[in-house]
Amino acid sequence: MSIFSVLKAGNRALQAASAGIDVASNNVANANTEGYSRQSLGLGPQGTTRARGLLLGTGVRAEEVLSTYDKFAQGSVFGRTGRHAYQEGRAMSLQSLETSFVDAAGGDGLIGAIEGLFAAFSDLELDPGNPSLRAGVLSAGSVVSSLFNRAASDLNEQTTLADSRVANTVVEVNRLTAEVASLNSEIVGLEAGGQQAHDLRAQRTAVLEQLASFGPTRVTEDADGSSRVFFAGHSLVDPGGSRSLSVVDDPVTGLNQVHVAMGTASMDITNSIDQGRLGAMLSVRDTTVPGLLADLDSLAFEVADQMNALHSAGFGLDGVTGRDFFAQPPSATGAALGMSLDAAVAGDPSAIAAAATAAGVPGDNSNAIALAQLGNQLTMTSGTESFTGFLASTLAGLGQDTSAAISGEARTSLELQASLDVRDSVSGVSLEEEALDLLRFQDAYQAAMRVMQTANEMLDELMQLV
Amino acid sequence: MRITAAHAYRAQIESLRRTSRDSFEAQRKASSGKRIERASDDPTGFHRATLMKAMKSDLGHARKKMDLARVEISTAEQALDGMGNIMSRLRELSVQMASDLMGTEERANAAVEVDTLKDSMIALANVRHGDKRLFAGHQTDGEAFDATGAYLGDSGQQEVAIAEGSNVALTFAGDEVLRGASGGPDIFQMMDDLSTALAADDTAGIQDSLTTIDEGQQHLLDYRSDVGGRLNLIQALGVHFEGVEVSLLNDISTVEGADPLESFSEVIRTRQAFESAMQVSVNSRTQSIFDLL
Repeated sequence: MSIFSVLKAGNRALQAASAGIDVASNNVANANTEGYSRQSLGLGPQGTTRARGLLLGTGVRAEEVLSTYDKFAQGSVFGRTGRHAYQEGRAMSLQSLETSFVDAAGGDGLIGAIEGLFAAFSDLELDPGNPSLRAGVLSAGSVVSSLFNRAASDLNEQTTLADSRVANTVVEVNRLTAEVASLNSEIVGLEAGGQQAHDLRAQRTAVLEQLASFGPTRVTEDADGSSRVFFAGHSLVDPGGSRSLSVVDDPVTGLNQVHVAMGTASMDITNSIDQGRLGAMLSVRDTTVPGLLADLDSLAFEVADQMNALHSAGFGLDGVTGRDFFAQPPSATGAALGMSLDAAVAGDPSAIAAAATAAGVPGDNSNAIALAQLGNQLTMTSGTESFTGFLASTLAGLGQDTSAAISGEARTSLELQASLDVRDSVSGVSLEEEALDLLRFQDAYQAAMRVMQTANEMLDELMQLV
Repeated sequence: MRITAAHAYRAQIESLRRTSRDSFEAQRKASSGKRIERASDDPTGFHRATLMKAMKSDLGHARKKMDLARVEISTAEQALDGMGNIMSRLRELSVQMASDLMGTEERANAAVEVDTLKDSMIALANVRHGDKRLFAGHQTDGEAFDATGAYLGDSGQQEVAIAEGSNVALTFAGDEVLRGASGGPDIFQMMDDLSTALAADDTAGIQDSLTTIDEGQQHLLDYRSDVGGRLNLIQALGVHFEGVEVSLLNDISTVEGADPLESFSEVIRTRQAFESAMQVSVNSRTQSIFDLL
């Protein structure tokens, strides 16, 4: 091996050490970059040469920059990101819903108003002919109907809000799938040309994690480096590009349904989206809020129907019978939103049927007693709950759902943390390790410099002989 | 397991987030004094507390109604007392005027007194509570009896429900009390007969009225006892309801209230945890291998 070979080996070592420092520096710089996988420098011997009958090494060669990516660990992160985002989204939505609905329907809201109505009838027992007590009954009835209206209206607003969020989220999902498709093209192009695309892969991983936070996302990778993305079991990204989601109005409810393009047609995949923020929005919009509204409607219908049955059998101060107290809803659907005092009694306190017989007017209060006692009767849930008991159960049910979502959020957060920890333990950047790598390559750099300096001195001494 | 920068940062963030949230929740509960502020804090407890509050509200309302009913029934009781006094005076007069010692003039004067007593009896029978007549059955908006003693009301009886399945009558069918409907003595007729006998100096007729007066006194005493029974029932239920209300208040407090000692301990514990988490975060930032390079 000649002195020039030593110089060349030193130069290669210098370049390898320099590359090592570059890689470590890049790792340090990207320690907090989402989706980034730790890179390492692959070093290998440059080869051998025969000199003076000996087989001598010719130094080191920086072969490639490796990325420590574990697709199984990353797959677990995608799955758990979706589950966590679902619980987190539900917890946030339900806490907001709980605050507004309990406020509207709780003890200071609808429950209090229903009790107030029966208390007003109870007051009327004492003096059924008293105009101010009669006006009190009408006023209490009006409060009940307006609070039913408000609670139902609030729930409808929640549905509208969730529905508009669904549409916005679909736009965001489409943006992300288009970005994945674009990154796929760049990665495949670069890697087909023999270049490495670690940074683009890191970007793609970060985008895929965002996508996973919106819905059930499964990712596979083709041999050429492109990712296939399945959203709610349907392919949205493949080597051919991305397929957009769209929202289509449901013909019955008018709510946005999530569709995926299938050729010239489209397929409704709404019911398959059971994870991620989109899944949470759909679950609150399509299950929780309709459940609350159904309970509210059922209660409003029963309150109106049963009060009307008693009231219409009684007699007003004018001796007239057959008048409803609330406008009779045709069915439970929409009963809460449409609840109002019946036109026959609204504004006419004397029309309140406190008496059971026409002859008993004005002192007969037996119908007022029956109406007042209706509040304590077990008329709901197959005769097991009173009106207020039923509403209290509905609120407690919402509380249970909210509590379960909060617990689920905490549980899935821990699960996601565990998956992230596993992934990062493989592909994350440890600043301590990178610091040591910097030291290691710095040492190697200095050693290579020393080798070159030694070779240079040897060359100088040789030159002095000439 | 390798501990990476992201791992350490995430753990610190999670720790700060959790301890901050716990501290906020503990402060919220301590400041409100309630363990249950939202249904999700304890759904079962919330349900129980809501039903107990509704029940307490019902009881409170029932007690208020009982107070009003008590005043109304007491008004009727006073009227019945007055009627009893009139009956006593009628008996005195009858006994006196039946005596041979009394002359025509005394009996004529007594007849005038009986007529006056009848007017008083009619006035008592037309007693009102507010605008409501108490002896007119269901016809509470008009007089129970006219000036002659003819009944203007009906046979109804207004009741008030003071508890489930427990109604108390507020009004009376005046003809049953004073006109012999449903089998009792016709007190007004007796008074008319007595007045006539006195005016006619008819001692036998005066003697005859004594029997009806005795029956009338007993009849009114029966009503007086009935009214006393109603008041006793109201009193007893009122005391019972008051006890139940206190008990419910305690139960509600137990279910949804926060134990002050426990909640303030929790505030201190969670605040310390939060401060520790912040301290750890700051300390971990100062421990970097790069500082040693």
